[in-house]
Amino acid sequence: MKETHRFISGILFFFAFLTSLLIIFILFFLLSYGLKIFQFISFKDFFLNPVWNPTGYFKNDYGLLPNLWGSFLVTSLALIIAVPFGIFSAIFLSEELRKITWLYNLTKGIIELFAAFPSVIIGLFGLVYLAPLIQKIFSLSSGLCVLNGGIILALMSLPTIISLCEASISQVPLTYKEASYALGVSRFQTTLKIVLPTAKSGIIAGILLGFGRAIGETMAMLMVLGNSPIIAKSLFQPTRTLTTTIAIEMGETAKNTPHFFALFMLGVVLFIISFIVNLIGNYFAQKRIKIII
Amino acid sequence: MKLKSSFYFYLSAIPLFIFLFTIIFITFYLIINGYPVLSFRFLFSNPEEQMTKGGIFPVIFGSFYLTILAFIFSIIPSILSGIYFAYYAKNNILTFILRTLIKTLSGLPSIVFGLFGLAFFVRTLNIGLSFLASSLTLSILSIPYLITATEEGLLSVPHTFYEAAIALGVPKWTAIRKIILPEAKPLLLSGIFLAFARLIGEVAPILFTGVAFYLKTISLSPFDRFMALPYHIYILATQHEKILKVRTIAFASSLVLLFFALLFGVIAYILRMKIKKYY
Repeated sequence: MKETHRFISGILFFFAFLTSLLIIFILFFLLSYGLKIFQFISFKDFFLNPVWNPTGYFKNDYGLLPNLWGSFLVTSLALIIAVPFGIFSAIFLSEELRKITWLYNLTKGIIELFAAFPSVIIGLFGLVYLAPLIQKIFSLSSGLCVLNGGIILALMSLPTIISLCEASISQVPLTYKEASYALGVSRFQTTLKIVLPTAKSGIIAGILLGFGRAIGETMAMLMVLGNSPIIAKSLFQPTRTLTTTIAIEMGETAKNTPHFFALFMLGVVLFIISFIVNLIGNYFAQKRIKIII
Repeated sequence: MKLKSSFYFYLSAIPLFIFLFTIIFITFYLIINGYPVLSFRFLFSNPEEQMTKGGIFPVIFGSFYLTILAFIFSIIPSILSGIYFAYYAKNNILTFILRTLIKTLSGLPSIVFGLFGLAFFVRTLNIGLSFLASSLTLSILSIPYLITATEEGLLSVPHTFYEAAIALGVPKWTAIRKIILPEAKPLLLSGIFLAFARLIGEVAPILFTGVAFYLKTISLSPFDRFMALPYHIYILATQHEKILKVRTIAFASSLVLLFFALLFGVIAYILRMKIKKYY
């Protein structure tokens, strides 16, 4: 009896341990390929080089910066759009719409289903509808640019941001708000000065995890960014990100060349960014629950 | 006393309405553009003349084969891990670290999984570009979702059920298997369907591990290359030489993919609504 219990809990622990170690295993394999790039070029040539040109005629450049800059530019733009949208949507959902149960459930259902939209489909929308629209409005030569990518990414990260913000706003105790109303403070001011500060950790978690979701997006970005390896200086230039460079070039490069290893190193950089952002985001997501209960 | 809120109400409502409108707009945009091409023949015939005509049957088949194979690999380890975290894990630093690692795994970009699949399954294990390599890569992607779903499902069952079974002298494992798991089944299934809906639209993990541009025949062998629905859409939309001619096929394929993703999403949602209210 005791032995069967030991045996079963041993097996369960084995599987839990194995699945948890997968992420370390992934990092190990990325590093084992990625670090080989430094047999060909120096650290400085990878981390500080502003040129990415792996198939140059005289000299090949494997600079991280254009890819990293593209990723941060598009993701920042996406968050500038999505964060205010997300916070206000969450406020409206939890403070007003919650009173009408069926409408609340329907809205939540639609947002949840939108999170399951495949990214190629949203990318196709950006490519076929949004790009010509942007091209026409700003009279550009092409609508495949940072702005298009930012809008598409904002759409894709909104479900994450809304659901985390809403979960945290709806946990703000009613007594906090009632105390504020009793002092004659308006609802708008109560929301700004009482509800949002109390729900702060959940909102930070939403922003960080939304950022993590956005920086890792591949297929939609591949379709709407125009994929030019330059350091974009305006919203209307094409660019490329860490993810799109890997996706485009990995299929075409020969195995065990510096180019191949450089792409793995980009993967390592992406891994590290996303790991840190998710770690901090999950910390804030848990912190919220601890304070309130 | 009713609090004055009309201005406030409209102000905070605008962003949500814009977002909802965009979602519905995208959906209808796809339906209007894709519906005219959709037919029974389109779903059940092979692509013809460099994919400018004909149907998408091998593509749908590839996507389902791939995703189901991925679940066959991931479902048992995930459920066992989920049971561990819900009922066996002690509240100590090791459990905290393991949980954190799994949570972080679920936030990792899918292209990173693709690189790992290329490095480990295709190159190190030498499986080659195939169904098998791709579905193993996808199965890793699904593991954190399934573990979380299992844990949430098990914890939604009131702890008194478990205590009652233990008080009657039932061994812990039997109590979990016979009492808790059957009660948690709807939520567990809901998690599985939701993971399925997400997995079927993934391209980045299969990009370097076996998906093919165009194949003439359907193969059942797990060691062959394959076509997949989301990759097919990407190819038709951006890489095809007659891009405008195949655009309608791209829209129709998107509509089919969206239908499957939403179907599984809705099933997951309905199953979650079905959870019993115990008290």
